[in-house]
Amino acid sequence: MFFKKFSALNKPLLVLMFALIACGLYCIYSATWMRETHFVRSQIYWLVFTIPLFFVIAFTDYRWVRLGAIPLYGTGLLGLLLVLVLGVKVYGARSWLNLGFCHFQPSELAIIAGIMLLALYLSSSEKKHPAIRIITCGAMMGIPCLLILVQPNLGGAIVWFPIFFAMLYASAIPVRYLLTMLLLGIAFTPLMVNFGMKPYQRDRITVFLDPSLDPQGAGWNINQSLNAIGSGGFWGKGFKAPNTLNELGYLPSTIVHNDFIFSVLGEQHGFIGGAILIILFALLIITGLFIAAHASDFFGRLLAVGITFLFFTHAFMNIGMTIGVTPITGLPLPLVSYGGSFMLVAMLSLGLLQSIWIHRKLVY
Amino acid sequence: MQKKFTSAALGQRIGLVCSFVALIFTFFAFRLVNLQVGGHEKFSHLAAEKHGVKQPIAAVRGNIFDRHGEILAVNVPVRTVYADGTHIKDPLALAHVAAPFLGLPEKELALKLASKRPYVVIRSGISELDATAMMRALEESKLSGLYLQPGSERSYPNGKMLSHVLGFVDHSGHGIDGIERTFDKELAGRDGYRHIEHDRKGLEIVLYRGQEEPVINGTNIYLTIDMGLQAILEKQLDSAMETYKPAGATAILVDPKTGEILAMGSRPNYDPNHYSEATPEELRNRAVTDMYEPGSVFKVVAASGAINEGIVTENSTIFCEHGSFLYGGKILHDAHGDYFGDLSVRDVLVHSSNIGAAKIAMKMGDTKYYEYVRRFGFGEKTNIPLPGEISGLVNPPARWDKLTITRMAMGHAIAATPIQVVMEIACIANDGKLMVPQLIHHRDQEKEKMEPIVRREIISSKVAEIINGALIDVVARGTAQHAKMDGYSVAGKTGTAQKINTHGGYLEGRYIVSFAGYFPAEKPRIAGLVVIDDARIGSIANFGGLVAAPIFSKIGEASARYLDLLPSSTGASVSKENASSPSSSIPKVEAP
Repeated sequence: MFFKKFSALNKPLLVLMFALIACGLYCIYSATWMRETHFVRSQIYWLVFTIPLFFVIAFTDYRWVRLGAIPLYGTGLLGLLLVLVLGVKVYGARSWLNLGFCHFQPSELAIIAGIMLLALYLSSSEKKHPAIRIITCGAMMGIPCLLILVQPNLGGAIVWFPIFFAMLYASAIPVRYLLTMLLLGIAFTPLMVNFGMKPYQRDRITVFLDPSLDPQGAGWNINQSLNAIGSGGFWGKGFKAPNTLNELGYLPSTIVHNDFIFSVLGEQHGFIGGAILIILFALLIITGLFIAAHASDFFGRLLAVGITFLFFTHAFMNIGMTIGVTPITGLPLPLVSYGGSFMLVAMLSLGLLQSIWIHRKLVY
Repeated sequence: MQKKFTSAALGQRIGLVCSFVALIFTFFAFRLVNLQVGGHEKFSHLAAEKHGVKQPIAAVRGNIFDRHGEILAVNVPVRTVYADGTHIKDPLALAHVAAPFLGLPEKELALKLASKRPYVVIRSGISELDATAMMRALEESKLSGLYLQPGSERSYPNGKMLSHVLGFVDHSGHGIDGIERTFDKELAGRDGYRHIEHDRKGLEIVLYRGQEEPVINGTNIYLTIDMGLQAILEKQLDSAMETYKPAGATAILVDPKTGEILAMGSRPNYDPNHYSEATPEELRNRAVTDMYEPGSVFKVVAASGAINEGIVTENSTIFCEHGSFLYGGKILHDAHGDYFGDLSVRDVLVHSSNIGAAKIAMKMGDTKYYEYVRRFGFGEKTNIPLPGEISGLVNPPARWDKLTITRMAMGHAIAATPIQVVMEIACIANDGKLMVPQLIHHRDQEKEKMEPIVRREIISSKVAEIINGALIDVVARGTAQHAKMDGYSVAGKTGTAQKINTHGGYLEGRYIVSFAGYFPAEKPRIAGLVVIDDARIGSIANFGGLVAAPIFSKIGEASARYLDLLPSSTGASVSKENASSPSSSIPKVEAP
């Protein structure tokens, strides 16, 4: 049975996953070899722990989620509450929980739990009025979202919205409702920006709109990232090339191995390297959607869409930030960026995706 | 119905989402092309700027020497003491130890040291000796926080001597005055650069040290100045300042054959080592920046011009109106209370008759006379390589009134710089060839000395010889008898002009007196000029012949001794034939 399930794995997804992980290790090494080497090692430790987890989840029928979603969601909320009280402040945001052996970001657990809960609710409320479904989902998403926002972790909160919309869209909510929400959201954006944001967050939006405004201050990161990627050119400067902006420390060296990992790749391998990574992500997401389309039940489909959009949103925000098309939010690049807790979430999500694929027709 | 929706429409929706995802990533790829292919050049440039730094390696400024290699301007290594506030634990203790070496009050120093900044310049220009002694003292008392930076300071070992010619450099090493300014580029050389790569913290990445651009050190310059002669000249200027308390004094010695400036000095002067304490009055190099009415020295122009043009001969008689010449509605007097009748052209010079000179110039006519004035170099810069030279003031005939020519002939209604006048007299000593004054003997690389440059031949050597004879007589029996030197024949001409009142007209009883001459007259080796501006003595004695001529004589005698010149055989009356033989350049003689 094990072999049967193993052979039933979605091979393209598996290949893409390992390709991205390999790419990630390579990028982390490229980003940090001149300063610290422990990042690669600790990323490998995390992989050693999460790859078996991935297989365990992949080979387990995803329908366990029906039972596990609510407790997991509860744990996520608890974690978010705990982090507000006991959290460790890293780079200005109280979003990390010290678990003793490692630091963990509860917002990342909360999001996968949120996806499960939304999928569970949406799949079981098909008969209900769309407005009720939307409001209930809004509440499910709203509570953790607010808790994340007050950390303050704008990026972590923003991630919920595309996933929310995608899942509603996939759950047969009429488009007019979604459009109304979207327009309302756009209408409230100025209010949010003016009253709901911290000054540094506003600065990020401002420099996103015009990076040249404050090149030494708020615009530093984005400008350095653009310089790094732009100077990479078509073929890039090469592996361990001398005098890369990263090596010289112009890319923010404290976060280059997670938030600005794409800049490192872009500088080192130019357009070719960047394009390959983007293609890998595009394939990964399309494969995810393919799995969603082939899911055996509505719940599986929604879950797959949610997970795929979790990946998509992260990739979109992260890569977009480094090339100056989205504001700086500090979201990691899934599977590529350094970071244990998100690696755990990513592997868990991919395990679920594989599980949805493996268990699409077969009943064991 | 719901079932149908889920299967078909939902599949369609997922397809739509797929397209959306594909679109987004296509956009990303497009953006990458935009950045990496389109903006590659721009960003590469920006990236290169980030880490490449040109670290300058300062060029050593060239030294200045006199013609015999005596050092006139040199670089002295000094240290700049700076404090690193982050290393200072006890500013008071540190100040206590360091203050005596730095020459700063302890309290003031402690205040400076209390700053937490990593780079505070405490004092620059600390001698190496003091600096190392201070560091040793700090080491002994186990204090840290003061550090040394190497540097160099321009030093002029001769102090005030030759200050106007040498000039000085400012604290950043740029030549501000004198030779230091004119030849700043050559002296400064070109700084080299080391291209270094540094990381964001500013630390050099030695691994990537780029190529270096070599330093080109400044050129050493050897002046034509002979410090032996300069010392003689300055000593006489000082004693003249003491005796006559004038507003200013200038003296210049020139080699008439080559135009080389052998000595040049002005009073008041300053010490270029402490240039910031100098007043503007002291900073002025009067030899080139000031003009004055040359007075009778200028009569040489009219006489030599008229003879050269064949309008008169040296023996032509000029009727001198018995000392009172009514012309153009004004009476022109002869000075010295002399009332001459007929004088030869030669005697007009010897007795310095104003009326005679005016009549000679009038014989030449405005245009011709003006032409000679200009040909002698008046009204144009001599192009001596010193900053601030002026061209003097010579009005063209179109702006003359009827009296101008009579006044100009005796050296009024015209203004000239001392350097112009000395070159005029040197021209007579050089067979009528006006030379370009030179200050640069040679440069370091080019061992051969500069070629003498003839500006123009003004009068024939025959005429020059005639004027030479007249000028010998001026000293022998004329107005400049105090210019006589023991053992050497001197030729020259005195000049006395009333000072110009800045409000118009002349200042009563205040004179600028001068003597321009050369020796030995039969074979001129040195031409010189002494100008004393507003000597504080009675008008009765304030004549060029009484004030400036003796100074010239003293300078001349000492110079002749210094140069070990052969004494003249028969005093004044020596034929010009001997003199016209080309003289060798000044022999290298150590100062006694």
